[in-house]
Amino acid sequence: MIDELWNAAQSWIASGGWKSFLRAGALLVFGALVAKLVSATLARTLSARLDAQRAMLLRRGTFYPILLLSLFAALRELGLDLSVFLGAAGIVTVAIGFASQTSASNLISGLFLIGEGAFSVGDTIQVGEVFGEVLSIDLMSVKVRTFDNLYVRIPNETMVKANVTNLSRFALRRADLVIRVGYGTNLDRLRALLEEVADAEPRALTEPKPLIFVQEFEPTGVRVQFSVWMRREVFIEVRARLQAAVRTKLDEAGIAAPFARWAAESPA
Amino acid sequence: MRWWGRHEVSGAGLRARVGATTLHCEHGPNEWVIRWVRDGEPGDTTVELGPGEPPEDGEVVRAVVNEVGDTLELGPRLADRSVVARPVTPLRLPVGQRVALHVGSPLWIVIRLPDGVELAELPLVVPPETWFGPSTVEGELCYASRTHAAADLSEMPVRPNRAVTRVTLINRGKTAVDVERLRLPVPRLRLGLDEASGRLVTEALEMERGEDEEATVRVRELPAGAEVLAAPREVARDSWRHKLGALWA
Repeated sequence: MIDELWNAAQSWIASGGWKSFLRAGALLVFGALVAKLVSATLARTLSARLDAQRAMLLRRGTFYPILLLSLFAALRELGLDLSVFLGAAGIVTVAIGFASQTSASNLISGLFLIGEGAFSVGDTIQVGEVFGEVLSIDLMSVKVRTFDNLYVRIPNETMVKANVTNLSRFALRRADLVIRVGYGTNLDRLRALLEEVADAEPRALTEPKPLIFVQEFEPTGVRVQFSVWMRREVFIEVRARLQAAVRTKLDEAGIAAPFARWAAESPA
Repeated sequence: MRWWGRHEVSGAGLRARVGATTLHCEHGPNEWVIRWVRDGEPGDTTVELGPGEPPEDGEVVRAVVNEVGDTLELGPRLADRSVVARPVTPLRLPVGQRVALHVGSPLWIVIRLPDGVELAELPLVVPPETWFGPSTVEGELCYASRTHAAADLSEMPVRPNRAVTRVTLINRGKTAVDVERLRLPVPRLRLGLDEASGRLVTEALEMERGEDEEATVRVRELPAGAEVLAAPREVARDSWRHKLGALWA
């Protein structure tokens, strides 16, 4: 048994079969290096003109095809007939497809996500409970960094099915503040006070104008909505300032927040 | 009135009050400490310059430098975004009219070393922000301003913290135009001093509504004999053609 193997190995070495192995290996390594070099150079040269998302796509779009070509060349060097692979590929695809439905679904969803362009790398998005900055959009999943610095991987399938909110799409955002006041409050006076609050904050846009309207008459008081537009970069800060300013203003004017009151009557 | 230019900074530091803003600059061994506070009334026209104590509160920045000299240069500059001026009373431009109006816009102050190196820049009045565009999706972030759009320049108060732009409106269209807002592309304008009136002025603008409803904006020169104080922040072009809505609405 060992002799047979030894003889086979000797004849393989004598026939020069190892050389083709070596060549195939060299081709693969060379191909990988070229792929890395080309994709990195392309991405670097064009990085000024492309956003992070496109740069990433370009890098991958050049790296993998070159690597695949070198793999084919290496297999040919080993004497494998690639047409057999092509024939087998159909059957293999079906088999793999059944075996990896989830992955395939993620993969196809990934292509849709990239093609649709609803968000790109660097945007702030909200998907379900996850709220953060997009780090990368990959074939299987989207990676998000939340604002408490957690790394979240969201499968593409989920992204395609879920409502994705992109908070970085438009330049402006509207902060909706809800203010509750008692029934004794003069609503015209309240409106004037809220307008003063908006005027005092330079980053609250004068146009589109702030909106002030009564949302609902609740059992304990009146619920008023005060909506102010601002650019999205300052949203969190300005909203917090407005909220504090509204409270201060209303306190100064003697308008208190309502509290629940029950009247109890004793039977006569 | 004149607050820009080179100033000696003595031991206590330089205290400059321009309108509602008080600025104080003093030097340490390797730094310039710049403090400012905006505590005046919006219409304040005070200008005071001289040695003085720093304001008690307000904002502060330390600019660390290789070498500290005894002089600093203060300079005016126009806003870093376009200014949208809304006439206090609605303005109508009937067919075939050509009128020149005067519109004010807020100024920034630049603190420089004598060799031109900038240490700090801040608005003398913080103007409110506004959006200029057909929708909340499309448009441009600007500063808002209210204007009396006076035809007669002498009606406008001389203010140290605002520049005046002369805007000529021409209506060659077939209908009257209601001018609700005027967008002044101030980052593309030069700032100068009109010696005759003692005002800070910008290059004049000409906004023409053509027969094809297209609007054209042209930058005209500074008043004759005006001294140039600041170059445009952005490269200016001779004329921009826009859809009518992009200029006045």
